[in-house]
Formats: sequence, C-alpha cells, structure tokens
Amino acid sequence: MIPLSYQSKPSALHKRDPRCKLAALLLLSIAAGVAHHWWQLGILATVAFMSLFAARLPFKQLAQSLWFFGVIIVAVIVSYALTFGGPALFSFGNVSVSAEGFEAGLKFGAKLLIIIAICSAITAATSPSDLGGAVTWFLHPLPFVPAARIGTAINLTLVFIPMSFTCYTEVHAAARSRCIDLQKNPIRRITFLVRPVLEVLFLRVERMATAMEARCYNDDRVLPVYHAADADIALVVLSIGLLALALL
Amino acid sequence: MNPSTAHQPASAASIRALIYCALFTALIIVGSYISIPIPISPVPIALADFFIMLCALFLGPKYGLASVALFIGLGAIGLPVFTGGKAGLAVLVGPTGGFIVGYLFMVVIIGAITQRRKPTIPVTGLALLAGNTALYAFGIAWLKVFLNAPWEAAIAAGLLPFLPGLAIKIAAACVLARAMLPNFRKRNEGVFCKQSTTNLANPQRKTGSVCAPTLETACSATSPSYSNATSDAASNVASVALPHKIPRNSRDSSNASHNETPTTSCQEQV
Repeated sequence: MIPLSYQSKPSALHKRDPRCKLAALLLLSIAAGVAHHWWQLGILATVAFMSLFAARLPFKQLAQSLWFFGVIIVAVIVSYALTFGGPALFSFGNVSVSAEGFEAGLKFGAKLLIIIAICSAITAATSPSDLGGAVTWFLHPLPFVPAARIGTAINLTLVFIPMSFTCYTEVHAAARSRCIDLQKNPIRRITFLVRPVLEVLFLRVERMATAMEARCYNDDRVLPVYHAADADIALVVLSIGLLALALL
Repeated sequence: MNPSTAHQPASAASIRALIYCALFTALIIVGSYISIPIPISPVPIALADFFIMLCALFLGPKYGLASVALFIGLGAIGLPVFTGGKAGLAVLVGPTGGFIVGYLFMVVIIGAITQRRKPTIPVTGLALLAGNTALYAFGIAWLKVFLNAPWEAAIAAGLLPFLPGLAIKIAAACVLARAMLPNFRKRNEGVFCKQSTTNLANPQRKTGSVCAPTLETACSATSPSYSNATSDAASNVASVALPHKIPRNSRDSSNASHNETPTTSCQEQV
C-alpha cells in the first residue's frame, strides 16, 4: 500500500460525494493544525480512527507503509524534549528531558498522525479523477481560473505519486545491489539515484503525452455531476463542528 | 470558453507542459518523504527543495511556478505533502510558511536565469545560488517576524543547519542539469524553451535559442509530404533529438531550394 493512493473498496466512505470529502479534508486538516488541547486532539483522533475504519483500510499495511512518519515523530519528540527549557521530567547526568518539550513533541506527533490518518482515509476512498473533478467543481465558478486544467493536473499528480514512489523503490533497490550506498560522495549518491528515476519518468510522460494527444484531449471538459445525500451533508456539518471545537 | 475554440484539441505543447508540471509536483511531494543522511551534518538532506530546483531548471519560470503552486495548493487543501507530512492552511501561516511561499520566488528566479542559457555549471550554480538566497531571505524574515526573535536566532534556526545539505543539493542539481537538460530541451523544443530558428544549411548555427532542431523540424521544412503525412501523435513519438543528421536527399533538396529559410516546429507545420 502506498500513501495517498486510491484503494477500490465497497466502503461507506467510498460512497460519499467527492466534493464533501474534499471539504471535510480541508476542514479537518485545519482543525488538526490549530487544535492545542489534549481533549481536542482526542476527539479528532477518534474521528480519524473512525474514518480509517469507514474506508476499510488494512491497518497493518497502512502502518507498515507509513513507518517514515513514525521516525519523524520519534525524532521530533526527542529533539523537543532535549532542547526545550522549563522543569525537567528526568535527567541523565548533564542531559535533562524537558516536560514541556516532551508534551510539545507528543502533541506534534498526535497532530501529524491525525492528519495522516484522515488524509489516508479520504485519498484511499476517493479516486484521483473524482478528487480532480471535485476541485474542478469548486474552481469552476471563479473567473480567470483554468479549472479543468487544474483538475487534470491534480488528477495526473495523484497518478504520478505512486508511480514515482514505485520507480524510486525499484531504482533504489537496483542501486543498492550495485553498492551505490557505499559511495562516500553524497553528490554521486544523489545523482546515481535521481538521474535514472528522472529518465524512467520522462519516458512515461512521453508515452502519456502521446496517448492524450491521440485521444484529442482538450480543456473543454464536461463537469462531473454529483449528488449530495443527507449523509454527505452530515459529513460536512460534522467537519465544521470539529473545526469550531478546535478553535475554542 | 470561446465558442470558436471549444472542442478543439489542446496543442501538443500544452499537453506536454501540463503533464510535466504534474510530474514535477509529484516528484516534489515524493521528495518531501525521502531524506538522505549525510555524515557532515546532523540535518539529513530532504529532497523536496532539490526537486523544486530541478523543476525550475527543467520547466522554466512559467511552468515551474505552476508546478510549485500546484504543490502548495495540494498542501493547502489538506494533503500531507509538505516536508514532514504537514498539511493544511495552518502550515502556510505557521513559522515555516515563509519558506513555502519562498519556493515561488525561488522557482521564478532560477527559471528566469537559466531558461535561455546553456546549462553550464557556472550558470546553473549562480542561478541556484540566487534562487536559494531569495528563498532563505524570505523564509528567515518570516521566521523572525513570526517568532519575534532576533536575526541571529532566526538565522541559527532557519539557515545554518541546512547549509551543508544545501551545498550538496546545489552541486547535485548542477551535475544533473548539465547531464540531462540539453537532451530534455531537444525533446521538448517549443514547450519549455523558444523554438529554434535553425539554418538548415548549417544546422550547428542557431539564432535566439539553445534548443537543437528535432527530426520533424528538419524534415517538415525540407519535405512537405513528410509533414502532411505525419499525425500529431505520431510526430511526438518520433520527436527525439536529431543530432545534426538530416537524410542526405532531403539535405540536398533543402540546399537547392531554401537555404536560408528558418524552420518552425513540426507541431505548427502539422
């Protein structure tokens, strides 16, 4: 499983209106960013966990694919705990662990996990074309904004993210088998890693461009038709309520 | 949309630009998840700003700006695309928001400097240095105002730990640009750089651009039947660089008939 990639499943979250899911994503990510009390983070974490459950995502695979965030969270907690001032939680010799820093690190980790969980659930439950369509729908009334083009660009970006991850993983494995990891020179290491990734991706872009031209792609797209049911409106109202709670 | 242009297929150049913008946005996002530890600094190299530099070098100021703006837009709507998995509007107005907004200035400066020049290491290095100076000036000023800290503290937090990694990223971007950019510009002539006005009698001589002629550029000017026969899609498959080799018979005919005729892109011919 790759972060930010779509998973086709017959779940409750998959059936929701993409516009409402996009609005909920925006509102809940702002809510997670501005929440500062533990009770606010607790409520948001519960909602995030429920959204993962509603999207029927495999928790074990998700945790495995998001191990990188675990490293970041641990690093931030350690860094905050060792650099913040204030009363010490405990100390080893000259090194003291700040209680305030430890709490700040934990809050950062909680916020990050909430954002990741909500975003994983919503992107896994919304196909790239639906997400692009929802963005187009929101931008369409704005003058001088190429809504269709932006929608297509988002759609393509969400297609390219897993493709780039896969390509990077393959190239990295190939490079490791050739002992590139033993290179001391960081410039050579980056070059040996990035150049083949770019070459492969450029080739795929060429093919995609040819395919789009052959199908006479244009910006005069028919707007997708969406119908918001009561459950969709309830999702947006719940998100607004949670944002209001986070702002308290 | 103008009714006269409705249902007209988008030009090959605009489709290509759109896809490359999306690709570089995806690479910037992937880069924010990849970090390479280096022995000379405790701060690992995050590849997000490295890909932003490459984006500016490859796509130029206009499309580079579009690509970075798309990246910021995706982060703003809540996708965890910023470095460290952050997302949302709160990040844009937070202490590191200046660096994210500064990416826009960086990409424009790098793209504007390098777009019409050959990607030599001095030119690329100077452009990257100028772009990063703008990025850090904006980011550190924002950080200082946000934290209400003195300049020394803002510089110590926002610049000094990143300098070793930054030097390595600039050096690697220079090497990659020199190795890949000429071929990339040849493949995408007329998309990210101006179309060449090559004198067919002397293909080495170019005016106004660093792009080399492509297969169709040469063939469409020399053989009208070729340009009529090729479809837009097929021409793009064949749009590989022509390393100054033109079929002998067509070169002869071009010498005979229109020696001084400047060529245009095949896409226009078709």
